[in-house]
Amino acid sequence: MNRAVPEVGTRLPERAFGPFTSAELAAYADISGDTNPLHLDSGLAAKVGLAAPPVHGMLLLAGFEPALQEWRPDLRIERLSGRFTLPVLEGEPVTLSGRVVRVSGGDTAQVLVRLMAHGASRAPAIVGEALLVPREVS
Amino acid sequence: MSEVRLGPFLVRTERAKIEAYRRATRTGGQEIPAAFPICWLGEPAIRAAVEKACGNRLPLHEGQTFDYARPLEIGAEYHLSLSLSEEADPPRLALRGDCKTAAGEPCLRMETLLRLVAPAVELSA
Repeated sequence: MNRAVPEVGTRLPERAFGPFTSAELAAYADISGDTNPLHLDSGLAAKVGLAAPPVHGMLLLAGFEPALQEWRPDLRIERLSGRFTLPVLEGEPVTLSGRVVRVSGGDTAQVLVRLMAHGASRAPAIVGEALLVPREVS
Repeated sequence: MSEVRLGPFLVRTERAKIEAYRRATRTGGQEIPAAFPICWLGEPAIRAAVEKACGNRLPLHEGQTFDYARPLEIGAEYHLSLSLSEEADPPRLALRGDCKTAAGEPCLRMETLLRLVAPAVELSA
């Protein structure tokens, strides 16, 4: 690792992500294969009580990767996980944040970062984790 | 709980698809995004198996994990074995994937949790 291991409690810079349009949700559905109509059909979304189609949780989870890379380009993601707890709707801006919650030292340093994504609600839309390890030097 | 084992399926990390994924997710970089393997679940054979397990219920993505033993390489082929487990209360489908290199070396475990909600036919009525 070419930089000091981050301390527990260190916060990632907050990052704005989205908002996403219906065309962007359709593009993500096309490439990911997740064509669940709930993400694409505003009529179906309305039937389950949503004002607009929800953004794919996996699209939001993907947004953490550039945030983590920019924060610590010397580390790579070994594990990435997320629980999608609240919907973020089409057109809704999202804020991504993270905080280091565990660090192990030595040459095999591992940095565990708690991840959170917030839409308009104060409650998180995603609660996740990323386990980061040093990149192998070639 | 019932469990169905599927595969292994041949999956790939084509450069063009990875670039399209990066555009759609607004992610950059030169490596394969950690969440890219979610696209493999959209492969026709895998998707058909998941749709069959869901029946007429609408799947809502509740959770996802990617756990790497080694980074994936661009332009490579991998073998993805899946197990599908259904839980009754609440109705939920768990997909667990075990991905290995062509040489049989473990590289990724992934887990997808889908909450199964009211019959889609009712929602569409």
